Amino acid sequence: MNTRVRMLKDVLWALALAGFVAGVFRLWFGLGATTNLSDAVPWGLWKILNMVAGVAISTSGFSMGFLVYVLGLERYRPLMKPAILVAFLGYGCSCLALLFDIGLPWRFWHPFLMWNEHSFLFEVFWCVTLYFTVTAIELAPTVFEKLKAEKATRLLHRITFWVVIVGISLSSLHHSSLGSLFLVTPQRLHPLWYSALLPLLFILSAMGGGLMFLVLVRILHAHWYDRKAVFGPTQLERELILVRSRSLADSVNAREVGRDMPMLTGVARVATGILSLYLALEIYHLGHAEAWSALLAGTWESWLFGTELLITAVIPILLVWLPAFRSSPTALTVAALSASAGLLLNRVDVGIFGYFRSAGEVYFPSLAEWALSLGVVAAAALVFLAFVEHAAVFSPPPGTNAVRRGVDVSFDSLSRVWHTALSSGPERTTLIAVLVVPLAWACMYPPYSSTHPAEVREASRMDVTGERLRLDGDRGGVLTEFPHAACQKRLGSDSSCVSCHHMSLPGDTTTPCARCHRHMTEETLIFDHAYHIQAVADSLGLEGARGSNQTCVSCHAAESARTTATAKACVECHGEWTKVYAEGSKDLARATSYLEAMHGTCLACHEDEAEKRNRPELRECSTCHTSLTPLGAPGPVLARRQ
Amino acid sequence: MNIDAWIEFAEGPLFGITFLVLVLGLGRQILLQLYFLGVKKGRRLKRVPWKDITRETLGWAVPIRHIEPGTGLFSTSSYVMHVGLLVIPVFLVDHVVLWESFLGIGLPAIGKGTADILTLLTIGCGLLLLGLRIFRARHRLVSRPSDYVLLLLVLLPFLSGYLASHPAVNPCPWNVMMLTHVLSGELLFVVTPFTKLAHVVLFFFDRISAVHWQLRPGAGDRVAEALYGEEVKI
Amino acid sequence: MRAILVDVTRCTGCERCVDACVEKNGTDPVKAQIDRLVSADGLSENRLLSVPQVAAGRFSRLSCMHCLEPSCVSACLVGGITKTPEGPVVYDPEKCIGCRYCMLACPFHVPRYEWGETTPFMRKCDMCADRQAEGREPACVEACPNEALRFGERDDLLREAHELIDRHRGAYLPRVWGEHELGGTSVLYISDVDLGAMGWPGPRTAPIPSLTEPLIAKTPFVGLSVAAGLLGINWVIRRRMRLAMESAAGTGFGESMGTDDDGRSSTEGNS
Repeated sequence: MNTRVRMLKDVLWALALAGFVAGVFRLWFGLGATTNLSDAVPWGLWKILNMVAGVAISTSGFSMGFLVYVLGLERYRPLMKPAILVAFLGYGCSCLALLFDIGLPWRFWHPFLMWNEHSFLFEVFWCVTLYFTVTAIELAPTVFEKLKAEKATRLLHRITFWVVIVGISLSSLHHSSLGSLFLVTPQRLHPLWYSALLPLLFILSAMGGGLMFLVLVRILHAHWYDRKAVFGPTQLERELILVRSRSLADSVNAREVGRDMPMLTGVARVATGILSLYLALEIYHLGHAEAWSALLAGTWESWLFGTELLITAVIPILLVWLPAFRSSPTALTVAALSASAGLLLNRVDVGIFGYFRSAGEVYFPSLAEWALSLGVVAAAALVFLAFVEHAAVFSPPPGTNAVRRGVDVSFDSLSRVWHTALSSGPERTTLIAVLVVPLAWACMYPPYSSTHPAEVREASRMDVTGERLRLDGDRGGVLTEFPHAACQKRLGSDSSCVSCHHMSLPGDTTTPCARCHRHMTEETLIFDHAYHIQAVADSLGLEGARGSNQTCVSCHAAESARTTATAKACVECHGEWTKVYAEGSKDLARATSYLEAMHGTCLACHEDEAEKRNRPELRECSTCHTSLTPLGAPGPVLARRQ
Repeated sequence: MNIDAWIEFAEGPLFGITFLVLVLGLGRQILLQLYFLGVKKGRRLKRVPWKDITRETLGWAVPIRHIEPGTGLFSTSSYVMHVGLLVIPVFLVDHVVLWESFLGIGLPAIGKGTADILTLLTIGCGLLLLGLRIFRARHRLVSRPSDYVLLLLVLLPFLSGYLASHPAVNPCPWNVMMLTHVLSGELLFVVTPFTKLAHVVLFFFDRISAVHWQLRPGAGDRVAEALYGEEVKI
Repeated sequence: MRAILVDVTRCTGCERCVDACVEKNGTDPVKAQIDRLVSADGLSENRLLSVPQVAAGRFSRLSCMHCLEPSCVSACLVGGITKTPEGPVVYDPEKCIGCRYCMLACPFHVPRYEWGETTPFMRKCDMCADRQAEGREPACVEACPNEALRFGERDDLLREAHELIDRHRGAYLPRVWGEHELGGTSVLYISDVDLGAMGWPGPRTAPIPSLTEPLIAKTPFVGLSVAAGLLGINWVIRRRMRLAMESAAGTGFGESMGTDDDGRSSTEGNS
């Protein structure tokens, strides 16, 4: 196996593994924890890139079927198998990603039984699953040939024509329906993209772009496995052939371009023909919807739309039809790349970017979303490569001249660890797995990446004397104007401090709440171990913390693990100081969350007062949380949508 | 970030990730061993020879049989060190508490005093091995640089752990020592599957394939060279 | 068909309706309070009703509009959302697969998703369909201290709204939001300020399902005609190939061309 293919596979494998980890996290922690989706942007990368765009780019299965089986253009038959494989894997990818995208994946079968025939999504669901089955049937002969199951192969060949017809009908339906999905959003989708013609635009761009993607796949395959087939012999090889040429056949071999170029150019011409129709229709849409002004507005949407049209249609058409580039493999590569990228960009525009304006929010996919999205595609690419190497997908089959190295036997301890210096498949793949999985874990594990506001900050004064305090632990905006002086007075002046400041630091009488209740929503361990070691050592007259083991055993039981469980209760030494909570013993090492502490302290009193003085409003949140009252600070203000 | 925050990070996320590397890495080695064993036998391994593995492993676990003249000190100290290496990390009281809080498994713990003695013995034997590898020619000849580094690396968590739990002899603040302890342990986790430390699982397979893990690198080629008088890849 | 009439001029934004809604739907009141600040329009999975400010000093009840021809009902692929004859648009969590197409389809951005859950569902106002079945008003209407919300038959409320507009000339803009917009809704608004901020489209906009349902009704015919077209094209091409082959056979070629690569007789396409 050549090095370039191996590196390609390594990268794909690593991506697939990262995607696997992302998928596990998605199922484990849910959509909210792993994605950046929101109520404003409910459809993200998985649905748009994998499903809408992924299905669009795999159209070659049905368009090649049309060319080869219906129109009988036998010269394109060599591209039939790769086209079917692309379709099968493309649809497989979409279905897989979709399983992770829907909120309740285990209910994926619901649309089979529960029908709503008014929904375009329902139609897309049925057509996509049916067409996926169709591609599987179309692909089956390739597998059976490899397995040498001749009877099954013959049977399948007999029904191929009819399967292809069914496949094309289904495809013509769901590719347009994918566009119709967005017809329900006339108020939300940007007018540059919203059009009553969306179904037509979608099917045309998918057919053109899908064929160009097939060309790209053939070129990439050639790049990695069989360079001559497309790019022809290198300059040096050509000269060698010409020097040695004795017959006409030899000089034919010395052609500048590969043997597949005429076929690919033919497909590209068909594709760009469709794409020029698409371009015309887009221009018609711009004129019809009077969206020209939006295109010339200079907003980033207009730039995006312009770029999209340029790379989807204009560049490929020019590169394929201008005489100067006509027979250049490089130009064809650029054209295919540009059209495929343009198709993807178009779908992402319609599905994601086009909604930003009305959502008033920008969505950028999370790391886990990228990982799963690309991981699924990488896995499909690996399957594609496996097919290419083990079944005759591209004809003629690439020479399987990969030399399998035997097991190196070498008597060394490291050879037991690095068996065959990473030249063998199992070792390489497992090593990548061992490195990538923990890395992906570290990067995407939701609890690690949580950006929850946690650190609590002390109250700030609202006036010079500190009679009113502003309580807002996480500085999150839900603030409380706390009338400290008034509350103190009501509770009985100076003697009342201890009813709130229940446990101050030594030498202090009014330690601020946030000094111990340090976390907004979780308990904090407030016990200062280092300080205690020092203090105990000092009190025993030992030299610092490392006087002797006596420092430890004065709190921890001698012959046991030194944990909280084996430690003395705080009360045993700090009886006086902790008198308010004395019965709570060891739990003094832990302070409750800020939320709990504040509500616990204030609410008990407020409930009483509300009862006693018959003032029920004292119980209401807005009594303290002034920012929550409609009069003090209003709630949401609607900016004009659109 | 202060040291306590670092300790929190090292005991939390970093521990999880490095432990994952350890588990996956060692699992990989086991799978590869089975795979290569299958390949060597000319077929995929249908059945793991558990019986042979057990017998050979237990045979080697009793060291008396294998002590040769002149290696007694090396073998004995190595044996004692390995006992410590296996017992301390799992059955130390403080670790048992950690196991229980992380995995919910309650394990029997060894006493504090026993643990101290065993730890010191382990460290002592480790240093003795290091000395032998440095000063004795017959051990030096079969040593690679990595053998010295790894030996020191293995001893580091033991040393730092001992010091952290004995303030009397600890020259540094407690949290610094604790951080060293945790980080060095985690470094060991990461390094184990990719170095000769992998013999923690490969040990069982080495008994089967009868290829000892202590020979010099490239030794096989040298044997071949000596046998056939030319460079033969075997 | 019952409906709610919102008189924006009477709403003071006290949010009693929101509290009643939170209590009735059993959502977390603390989270609802937080979402009031976090969410742009005050709606969230914990807060199915919101009273945002729509203009200076003017507040408006914002929640599901219970459209007469709801986009979400037509969009839901499993038919999990239905428009009941009584008025409410109700959601059936048993059917939901979590595709969130309803959220995309709603012109008012109303449906919210329980993003934080591992078994998430869509949440939205159901106009207290269960209370209505017991003959009671929706919780929000009952809670309103200023009679800014009125509940009743949609026709009666429309008549009432127009009477109010006619009687108090100048106090209201001459428009009942929800009467015709998007085919009409079951939550109606009268106001002295424009309510475009809430997402209302122009006065006589077509219901969203009318953009898609005529199209999707054609689907089976499109599919069948594509298939028929393909067979037709294939028939013509096969015939031409056969004719070409026969003329070639006259000159001694083409014997081996009787079957194509698939082993299928080339005349089969004709049948």
